[in-house]
Amino acid sequence: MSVDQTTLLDRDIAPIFKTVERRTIAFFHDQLELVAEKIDRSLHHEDKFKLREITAIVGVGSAQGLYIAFSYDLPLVAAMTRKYTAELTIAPDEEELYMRETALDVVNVIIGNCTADLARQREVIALSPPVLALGARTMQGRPKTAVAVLSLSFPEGALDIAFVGPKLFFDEHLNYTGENI
Amino acid sequence: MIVDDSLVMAQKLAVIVRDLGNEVVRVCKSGEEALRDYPLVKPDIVTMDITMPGMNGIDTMIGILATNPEARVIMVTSHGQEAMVVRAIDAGAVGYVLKPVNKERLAQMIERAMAHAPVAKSRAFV
Repeated sequence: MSVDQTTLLDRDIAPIFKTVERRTIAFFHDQLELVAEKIDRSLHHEDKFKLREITAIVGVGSAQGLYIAFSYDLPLVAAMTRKYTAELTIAPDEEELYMRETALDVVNVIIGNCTADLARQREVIALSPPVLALGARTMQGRPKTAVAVLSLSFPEGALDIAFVGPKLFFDEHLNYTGENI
Repeated sequence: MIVDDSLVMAQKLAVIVRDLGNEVVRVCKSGEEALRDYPLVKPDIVTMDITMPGMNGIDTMIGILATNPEARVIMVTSHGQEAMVVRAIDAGAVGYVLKPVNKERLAQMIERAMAHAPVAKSRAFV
């Protein structure tokens, strides 16, 4: 990581970046029995951001807030779903539905829990219901958009957590406004 | 009664609630559904998510309490922030359980809610 990247991460989004990292690793370990083998932190100044097969996105704060995207490899979501839904009976034709629901649930729980670390006294940080983007794709942002990414590698696949500023990739209703590849 | 827009979370909650010896009488996927169904099933206890599309859980609870002041609502949510807990309790929630749901914690909340029940012939869950 360069000095420039460190400065921006430390000054602007470090608090939320750090709490999301800590709570994500703990949730995957404690609830899903999945242990991250490698952790990378990076800051991208590019106008495109590549998503993995399943991406769950949640809006944090006001309309001027932050979007956080959890972008998963498919085998990782499958492994998460097996553990997360272990006590449920799922028909074979419903497995994909439950994988999508698990991807949404996990981001909702982790980011919801993070608000405990981030909210100042008497302040309520709003969360949007998470939305899902399916299929590997590239999202188009403004030129030299800054996107901070936390990448966790598991034996079952990778998870990228992208922290994206307001209205770069989505409209106010969290509809994707970029281009597919 | 369980109110949660998440299919998986609602089913996981239902398993815990039944394991604790209760009956799930209705699962609602939205606040609007809960407002409509509450008077139909009159559950002993409601578990209520906060972040849902459309009407959020706190507004839904306020709506239920407005016409059913005897309703006992436990918020079951991922929101860990103290201010949100205070807001929910101030609005009338009996208790607050953080997701991921801990079975023992939910059992405590159900017992607390039932202790406040005026008449509870059975331990039913909406």
